[in-house]
Amino acid sequence: MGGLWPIVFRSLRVRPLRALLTVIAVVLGVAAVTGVDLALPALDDQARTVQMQRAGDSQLDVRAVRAPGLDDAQVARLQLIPGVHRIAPLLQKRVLGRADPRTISGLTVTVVGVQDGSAALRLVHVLDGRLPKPGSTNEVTLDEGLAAALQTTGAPRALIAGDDVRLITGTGSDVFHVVGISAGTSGGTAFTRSAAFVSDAAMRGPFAQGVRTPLVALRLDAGAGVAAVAARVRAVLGGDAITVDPRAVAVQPLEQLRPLLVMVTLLSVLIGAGVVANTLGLSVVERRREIGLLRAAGAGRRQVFALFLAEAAVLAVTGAIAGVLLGILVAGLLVRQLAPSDLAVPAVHLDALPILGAVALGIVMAMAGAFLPARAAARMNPLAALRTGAAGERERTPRSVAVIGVALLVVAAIGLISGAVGAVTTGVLALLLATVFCLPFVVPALLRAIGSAASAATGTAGLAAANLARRRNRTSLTVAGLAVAVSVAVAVSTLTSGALAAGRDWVNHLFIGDVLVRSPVAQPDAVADTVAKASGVRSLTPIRFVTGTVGGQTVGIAAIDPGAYSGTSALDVSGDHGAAVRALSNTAQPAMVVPRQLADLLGWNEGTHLEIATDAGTVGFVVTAVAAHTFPGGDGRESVVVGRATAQHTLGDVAIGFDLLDVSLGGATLAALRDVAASYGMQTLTVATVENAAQAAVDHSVALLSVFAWMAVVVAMLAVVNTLVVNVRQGARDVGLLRAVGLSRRGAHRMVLTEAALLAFTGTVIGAGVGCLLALPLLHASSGPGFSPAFAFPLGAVVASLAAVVAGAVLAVLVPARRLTGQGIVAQIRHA
Amino acid sequence: MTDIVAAPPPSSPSAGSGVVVADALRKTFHISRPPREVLHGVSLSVARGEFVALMGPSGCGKSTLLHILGGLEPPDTGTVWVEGQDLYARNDEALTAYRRDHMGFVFQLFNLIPTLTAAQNVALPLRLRRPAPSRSDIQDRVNALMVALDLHNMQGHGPEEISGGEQQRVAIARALAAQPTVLLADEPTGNLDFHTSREVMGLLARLCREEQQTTLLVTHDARTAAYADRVLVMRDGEVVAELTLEPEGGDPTAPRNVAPLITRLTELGL
Repeated sequence: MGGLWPIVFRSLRVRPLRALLTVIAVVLGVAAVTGVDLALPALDDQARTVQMQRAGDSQLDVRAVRAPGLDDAQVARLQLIPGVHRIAPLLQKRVLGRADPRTISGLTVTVVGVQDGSAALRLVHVLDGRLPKPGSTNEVTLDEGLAAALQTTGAPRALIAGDDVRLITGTGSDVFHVVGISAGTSGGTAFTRSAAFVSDAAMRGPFAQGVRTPLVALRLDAGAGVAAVAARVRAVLGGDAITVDPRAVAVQPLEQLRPLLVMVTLLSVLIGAGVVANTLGLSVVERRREIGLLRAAGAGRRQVFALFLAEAAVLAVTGAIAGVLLGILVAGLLVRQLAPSDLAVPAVHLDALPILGAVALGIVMAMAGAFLPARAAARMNPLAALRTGAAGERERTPRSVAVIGVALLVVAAIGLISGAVGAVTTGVLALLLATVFCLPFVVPALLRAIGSAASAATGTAGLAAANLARRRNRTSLTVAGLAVAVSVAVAVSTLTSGALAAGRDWVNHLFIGDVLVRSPVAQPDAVADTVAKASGVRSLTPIRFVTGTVGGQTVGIAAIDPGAYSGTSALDVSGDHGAAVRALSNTAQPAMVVPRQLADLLGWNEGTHLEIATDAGTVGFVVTAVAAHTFPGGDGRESVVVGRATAQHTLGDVAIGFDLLDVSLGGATLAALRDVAASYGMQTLTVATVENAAQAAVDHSVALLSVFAWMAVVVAMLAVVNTLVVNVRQGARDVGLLRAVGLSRRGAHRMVLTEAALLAFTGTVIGAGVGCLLALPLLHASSGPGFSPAFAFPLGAVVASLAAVVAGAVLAVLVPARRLTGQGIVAQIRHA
Repeated sequence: MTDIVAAPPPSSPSAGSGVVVADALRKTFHISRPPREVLHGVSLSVARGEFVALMGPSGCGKSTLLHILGGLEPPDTGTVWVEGQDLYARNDEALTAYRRDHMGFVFQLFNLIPTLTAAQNVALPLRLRRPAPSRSDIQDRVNALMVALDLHNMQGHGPEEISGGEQQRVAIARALAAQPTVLLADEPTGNLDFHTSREVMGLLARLCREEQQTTLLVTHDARTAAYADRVLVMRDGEVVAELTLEPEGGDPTAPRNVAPLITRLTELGL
């Protein structure tokens, strides 16, 4: 082999553009793998860190199932459980608060006890001032949202440290000195939303009457197992509580997209291998005479084999190193793009293993792609290689390729029909591989058909199609790479548009009006009346969000005014909309509408009887309808919907007031409404803004997939360019002959361009078809409870990819075609 | 008995003296240093129905001359008249159209478009015509040629599926499809065995004698040149001799006696 190295480097030097295209293919494949390999662990780390922060010092949360929470005796029993080191009950009480005692109205405030700077072992984040001192009974630290909202109760501005606030205690309306402003706890804003933090002593003193303990956080003894202690807790408390491990990361970031992401990344690698195979395959065809001469001069089959593998290895190593560098850059961009905007961008750790793995994968990919062309070169008969013209042979495809293709189609059909995510992923890969294997048998006929149809427009289309069909293996491999890449891009685009449409549909069926007014705390109904009088407001309906235990599950409950929903498209229920609204209005027979998401998850159906825990015990509700979607429940799931009157009747004071106003402006300007809302510390936003935010969230998630899918198209285009340029070179003699018998220079130029357009068109059309086929099971697999994006033909993506790919292919051959047709006829005919 | 009538190189002919007339053709190739002039003012005239062979050593300019006469490559200076019209006074499009309708070419190697069948290759010049003849007219002409050239069983075969001789016959059929004014053949037998060469040359000679097909042939081989009516001998870019071969016997497809031709060529140092 040593003597052949000069040939390796000379071959690469004399075809620099092709070597560059191959390196780019390897670079992109390795960059995709490295980027994902480095970005996902960084995002996982971030998610884990956030989860740990949210867990605080708690190792096990004990959550009460019933509304009054755990009683003192139950809490005391927890301390005695073996393995429990320390207990920290979350003491809560809802009271009325106001800034000015002369103000009649007040806000419902959640008073939370703090111990050692924490609530239930979660640190309270203090923005300004401090927390109440231990033992103090007249100090309070207010959540910033609550401090802003309290100005509606008589304060000239949002409350700050140093102000006073009146809270209802066991002895009446007592003055509490505001010593600080907080921003929730490490448990997150939902953990103690709009809280007023007081000392543990205050909770057990002035606020003792009616204090609830919805949660007890546990620290465990060293060596005690979380699962074992949780089992003991359940044994002690029975059905009164559930246990949650707060440190368990339930959901990985991008969990649903991960299989697709891995698939698209692998496809980038596969397509990269295809480009290498394409490049070396073309090189073998072009260098037939060189191979023949080498063999005639004494080079053995192994040496020829090694020669081509060595070329691939040089390109692979170069591409893999550059790919890793690009991949690190990509990983940095990915985490910046994908990390939640409210958290610090996680650092990308340059671990040796994934980097070396990506380098190895890149080299293996290139060598795998090089194997068949190198073997073909080694097996070439030296005499035949010397005798035959490079362009003169008609390519044939072994039947075994068809057999493998059909077998893969069967595997794909089984996988795609099964519906399970893993099987669908296998099915998708099998379908894509089947496409690659079956195309040599389909593409020639398809090309001739397209060429024949196109010959009406351009007389040389038939010749162009025949040129491509003759090189069936090369053409099919190129078309396959392009089709696979386009199919993935089209499938991703279909998924995206399906998800966007589903999100749009959700928002459109959620609200009656066009503007929302959101309050950080529950506002009294009188505020809604004031807002209703604001200039331009046609109508509004209030919504109150509470958390409750429904059918043994802690879920969000949205209390709405059912009458406002009559005759609207909001509240998209499966059955009779009017009957559902009437049922929600009936306080005598409590009814609720449940979202499809919860219905599927918990087995609830129309007619199911569910109990809601209330202060007075439990109240039986009947599920009157299942809605496609309802309001977010604050826990990542959707809420159940009940009538306001029924909620206030059964749940009591907690359901009074509103958190959200759904306002119909009917085209009037927002300014007056915004001013009125702001005066109560409320935020105004349009439904369109919510819709855009939902779409942005989807875009944010699938942007990565789209980037990789289109990156795969770019890689595949390298092979298209490669093939077309070689076709132009090898077709010189044919063009010369055609021109000799009467084809004009312009006609020859048009023929070459038509060949490029035909190749690109065929690959894209096949890709679009396969992409639609892929999208159906992928949409099905990505559907979850309450989320079922529908298939819609991605016309925009198909047209865009068709235009881009065809234009790219035509542009790529523009210069070689002009150079070719600029040659004299004799020079073309003499071209070997 | 074949007579060899030697004549001096033709003087500057006029446009009306033959179907193909060339005057003072010069051509220099700039691919080497110094640039190489391959034609030094060649003039000739070919009469309608005449079969002329161009002979000479490798690099003497005979193929270049043929290409210039066929409208494939323009001369640097000089004029080519075909049927009294200046061939290179046309623009590229017009020259292409003229070549398509009035010239037929047969080359030595890889003469056929590999993506087309034998019949499609023959039909190609007709299909490229604008306006194109009707499908039935094209089919009739192709059928007639395939039968005439004994190719009727090979219409659907690809070039790689037929022998070298058959490929050349298909190439000749294609060259004749448009009923050209001139048939130009560049070493059409250079890659063929003796029997196949004789078969192809017999065919060309028959076409020339029976159909009055004007033919210009480039060859190294005296036995091939012996089918011609006249042989122009070239050396170093010039026509150095003109030999007329008188027919013998009644077989129009038979070659003239090659021995006197070889003798004369030997005398010329070729």
